Amino acid sequence: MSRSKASGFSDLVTGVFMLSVLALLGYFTIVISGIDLITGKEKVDVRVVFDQVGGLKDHDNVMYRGTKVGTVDRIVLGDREVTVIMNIDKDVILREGYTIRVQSMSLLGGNLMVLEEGEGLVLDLLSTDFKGQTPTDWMKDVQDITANLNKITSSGEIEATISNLKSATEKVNNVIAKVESGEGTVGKLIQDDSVYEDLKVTVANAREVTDEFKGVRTVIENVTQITEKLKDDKYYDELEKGLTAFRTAFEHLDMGEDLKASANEVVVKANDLLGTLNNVAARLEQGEGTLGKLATDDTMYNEINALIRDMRQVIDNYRDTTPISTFGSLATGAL
Amino acid sequence: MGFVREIGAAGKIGLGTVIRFPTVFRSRDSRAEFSHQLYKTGISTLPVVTVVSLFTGMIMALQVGLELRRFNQEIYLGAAVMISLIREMAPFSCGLCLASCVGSAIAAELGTMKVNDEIDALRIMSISPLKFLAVPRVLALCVMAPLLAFYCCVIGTIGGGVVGATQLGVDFGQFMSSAMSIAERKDLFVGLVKALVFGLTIGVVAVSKGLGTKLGATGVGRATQHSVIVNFLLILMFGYMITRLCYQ
Repeated sequence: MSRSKASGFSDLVTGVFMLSVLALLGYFTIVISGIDLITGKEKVDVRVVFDQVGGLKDHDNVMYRGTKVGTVDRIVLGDREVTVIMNIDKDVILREGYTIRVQSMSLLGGNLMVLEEGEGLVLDLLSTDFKGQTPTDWMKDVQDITANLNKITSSGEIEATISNLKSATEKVNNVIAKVESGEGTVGKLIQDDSVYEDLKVTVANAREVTDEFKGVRTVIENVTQITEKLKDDKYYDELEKGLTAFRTAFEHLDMGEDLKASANEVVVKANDLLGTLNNVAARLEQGEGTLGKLATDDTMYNEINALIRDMRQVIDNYRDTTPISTFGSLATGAL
Repeated sequence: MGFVREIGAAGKIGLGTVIRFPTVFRSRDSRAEFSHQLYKTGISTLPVVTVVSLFTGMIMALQVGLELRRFNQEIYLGAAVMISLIREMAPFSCGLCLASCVGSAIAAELGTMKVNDEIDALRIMSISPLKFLAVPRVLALCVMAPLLAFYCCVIGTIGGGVVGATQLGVDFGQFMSSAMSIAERKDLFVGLVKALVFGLTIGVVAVSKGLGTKLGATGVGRATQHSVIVNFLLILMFGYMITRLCYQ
């Protein structure tokens, strides 16, 4: 490559680089000036008058229906007000009842202007001097709150409250200390687990009693069934008929006198037994005696079951609350 | 006294060079030399400037992004990177690259010419060394420094956006939108003015050190070394002064 060609190539490369960077610089300058080259939306300058703008500055965003429609172009300080000229899309519609306010962008700082459309007649953006709402001064509010707190603190009310709280805490600590040392009923309940053991034994016994009682109840139910059967005339008559037939057949049998006498005795005893059973059945049916009551009235059974359920509940509650009480006493005692 | 004399000589060379800037465009040879110096200053240093600015942007994005993440404010990563680059880091890193690559080369070249009596030969032929040697170099630095600074800013922002997208979960478009929303014309122009001042400083110091070279090859090395050191220090000091002047 000759010297002139090499020089020409280096000039070309240099020129391309310089033109590219200059073009990029021009585009960047236009973009950061707030001119939208891509969408080409037409913008208008709108004047908004504020009492104060709460730190709003040039190029802060203007939001409308949650989207950016422009930026703050400049802020002009007047005699008693601040006029903000914002450069926004021509398509923005503001109606009577609109609101324009300055809003903090985040806790870290930054502001934006928020436009709310309103509900009345459409207002001309160019010819209307819009009125903005005075922004909330958070720092001033915080300072006021702090001042009020200082005032309350310095008046002595807080000291009295703290003193009462200290006294109450000491009393609670004393109570907790007594409980922890096992004094009083609550202390004994917490510190001495013999009650719990007794309760466990009692419950175990009660369970056994219940199981046995279930056995008794089964017996009673069987007796009741027998009684019901005995009460039934059909069975009684059939049994009587059977005995009569047995006696007739027995009389016709050719047996010795001793054997006959024995058989007659058996029949008589069987008749007596039937009569007795009949009486017992009648008494059981009427609920006489303990067995009758047990057979006819299940209240006691239900009550025993309820008692056991209650005892179990008490034990469960005791188990649940014991760790909390202990933790509470430890935590409060530590204060 | 020697320090004051050096400052005086540098001021004289700087002023004489700036006054002669228009002479570059008067003859074809001057324009060719200027074009050649533009290439040496801008295109030759482009690879170094690209790498330096890319990693500057990436490091800044990573450091700032990790802190912003603690407050769930990664959305401002682009703005933070852009504002740092456009105001300070782009002109600064560009200035350092130019001082080390171009300034040192100018000082060495002119120093060698000085110890070989080529400068005296030019004077004998009634050719001004400033006009013939200094003006194209210094003017090329003044032209290229702002362009390279802006190039640094663009490349650094892209590097920051890549780090934000790949390591911090910030969408590249969102990063760029945030970056563009924070930039202001003032920041851009202050950055460009800084780069221009840095370019002028680098050129004047390099030419001054080169033309003031003594004691043969050793003097050339010393002139080159001094050129780089003085340029680094002046870049830092002028950077602060301009920032102080423009942002109060």
